[in-house]
Amino acid sequence: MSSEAKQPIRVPRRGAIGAAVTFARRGLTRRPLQTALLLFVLTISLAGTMTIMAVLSGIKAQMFRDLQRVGLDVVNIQMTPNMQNLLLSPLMMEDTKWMLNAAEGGKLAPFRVDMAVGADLVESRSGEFLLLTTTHQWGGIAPLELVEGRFLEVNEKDACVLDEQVADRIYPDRSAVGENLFVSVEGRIQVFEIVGVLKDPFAIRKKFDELDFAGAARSTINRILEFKSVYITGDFSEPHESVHGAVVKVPEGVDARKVARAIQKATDERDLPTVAWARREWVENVMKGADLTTQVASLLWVVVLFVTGIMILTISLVAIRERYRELAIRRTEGAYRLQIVGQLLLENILLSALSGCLALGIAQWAGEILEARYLSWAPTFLWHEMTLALGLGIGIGALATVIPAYRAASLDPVEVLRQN
Amino acid sequence: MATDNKTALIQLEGIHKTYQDGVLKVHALCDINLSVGRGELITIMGPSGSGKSTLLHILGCLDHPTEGRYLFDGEDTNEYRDRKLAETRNQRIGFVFQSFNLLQRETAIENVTLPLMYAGANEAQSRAKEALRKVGLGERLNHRPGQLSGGEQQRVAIARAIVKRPDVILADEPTGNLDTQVGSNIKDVFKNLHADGLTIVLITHNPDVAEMGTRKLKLRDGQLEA
Ligand SMILES: Nc1ncnc2c1ncn2[C@@H]1O[C@H](COP(=O)(O)OP(=O)(O)OP(=O)(O)O)[C@@H](O)[C@H]1O
Ligand SMILES: [Mg+2]
Repeated sequence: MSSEAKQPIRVPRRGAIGAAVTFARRGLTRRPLQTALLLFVLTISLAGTMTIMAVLSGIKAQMFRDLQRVGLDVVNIQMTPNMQNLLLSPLMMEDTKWMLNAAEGGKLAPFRVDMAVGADLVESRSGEFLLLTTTHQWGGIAPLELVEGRFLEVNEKDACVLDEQVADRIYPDRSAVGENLFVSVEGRIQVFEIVGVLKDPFAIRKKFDELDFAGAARSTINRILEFKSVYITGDFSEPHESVHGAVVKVPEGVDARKVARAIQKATDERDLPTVAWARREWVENVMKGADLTTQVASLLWVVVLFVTGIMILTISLVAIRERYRELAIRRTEGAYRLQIVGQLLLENILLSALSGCLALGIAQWAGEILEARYLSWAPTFLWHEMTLALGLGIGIGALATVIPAYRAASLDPVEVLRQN
Repeated sequence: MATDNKTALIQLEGIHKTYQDGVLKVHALCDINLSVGRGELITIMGPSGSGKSTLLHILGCLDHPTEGRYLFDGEDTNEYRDRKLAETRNQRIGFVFQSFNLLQRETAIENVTLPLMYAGANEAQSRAKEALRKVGLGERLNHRPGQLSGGEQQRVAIARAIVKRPDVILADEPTGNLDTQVGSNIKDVFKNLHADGLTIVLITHNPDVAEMGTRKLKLRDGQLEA
């Protein structure tokens, strides 16, 4: 021993990282209550943050899917929204010619809207609706989703397609397809065979119109068109045949917004009370509105994390103060300041990482429950968002630890041991 | 064991330590000159408040003197920064305190391996076991301090001090919290360590313990008496 005593041990520091991990692990497991408390706080708030993120992302993803269904390369041309225009001042079929020119070779489907009452004699049920006379092209231009049956074919005169709500009203407990519908327009009665039932194409738009801050005025049209519709075909071959509007499918590679502007300009020059708008533009406005809304909602998780940070800071301050003596002994035994800060930091990072895993599980479970009970969309867990939440969790935990840890490491161990 | 100034392990030159206690200045140490050679067992006695612990903390690189020079193995410790001070404590100086200063949540063996782990040393486990065996605690490796008697806790602390194979052991009233019988056992432990060649500086109130020193110093009002 005497020769050893003269030789100070100069050992390589390669075991230092292993030691740091061991200390951190012991630091956590030997204080089960404190560890559990911190774990609880971190896990709950991270799970909350992750759930909020997933719910918000879920809305956006769902919206995007829904919005695709309105058809992006479509320009709507409608009478300016007031009842008088809608019912009394129709365009003439000949007007659609220059509209088509403005649309640079797009496909066009004109339409006329009439108020109508329909009844089924077998069911002896009736309902009011808008009778939408159009060409069979309508189905190819404005993407329509069928619940059952099919859309109208070329010049199919005695067939009609109901939208879901009308079908439900008149045929609440059986399929409408194949039945005959008696339709009365201004006293004239006609019989149509029902060949298909449509999902209400306005329902999607109606759902998102409030988010279209820029086009708020347009939504009035949609409100007027909230009436349920029954579609029939007309041929619109007479130049003076009246139409209420048209839907234009813009050819590929052509900007629908430009087409809408061109048509608007042309109708303005002719003093016609119409508005032309591109659905793509509407979708973009809606997504912008949604972004704004979700960004505001994101404040929620920022607040959650901020509060968590303060809670962790408070807990750390108390927990580390309780460890002053232990840390002073470690300093005496040769831990340098950075090792003390490092150990406390590592403890916290291990804890945060564990909370992150638990939180992800809890958030997914919470997402499932929310989806099953309260939401009409699936919360979406995005990798980058979950990583962000975990990173912020670890960052906040680390920040809340570093301050008291540095303070503790800077204390004079002699003083601490004298006083404790 | 001659004290050669050139090879002296510890060399204090004109050490002063003053504490500013509010407006009051406390002169804890006054012009201390001391040289400790390898293999010495120095005992320091003195009344309470005479500056014994202050001196030991300076020797242990836990505190800097207000004035004067402290050469440890020929190096001026005034030039040491936090990391170097910590390394010196970690690898070259063993501490034994009156109140043991063990980590309460760690077992005996974990307490003893502590300095080795900070050093990143190999074979920490076997070396710690050996040190514990040396102080007669080979059987109580996995007990926490709370499950050990005072004497046993002090043995753990001594094992922790010797496990790093230090240049010097600094003990501040190691028997102060123990009854006479246990205290004399601890005294024997130090005696054996000294016989093994370890350099020891030991502070005590107990003349029985002080008696074993190769050099016996007295501290009074911050000053060394022959
Ligand atoms: N941090 C400090 N601040 C102010 N005064 C201090 C401080 N540390 C020690 N002192 C003073 O310095 C003097 C010497 O203290 P020290 O602890 O070295 O005495 P001691 O000889 O070890 O006494 P004891 O036998 O009671 O342990 C005392 O008067 C004490 O009050
Ligand atoms: Mg003292």
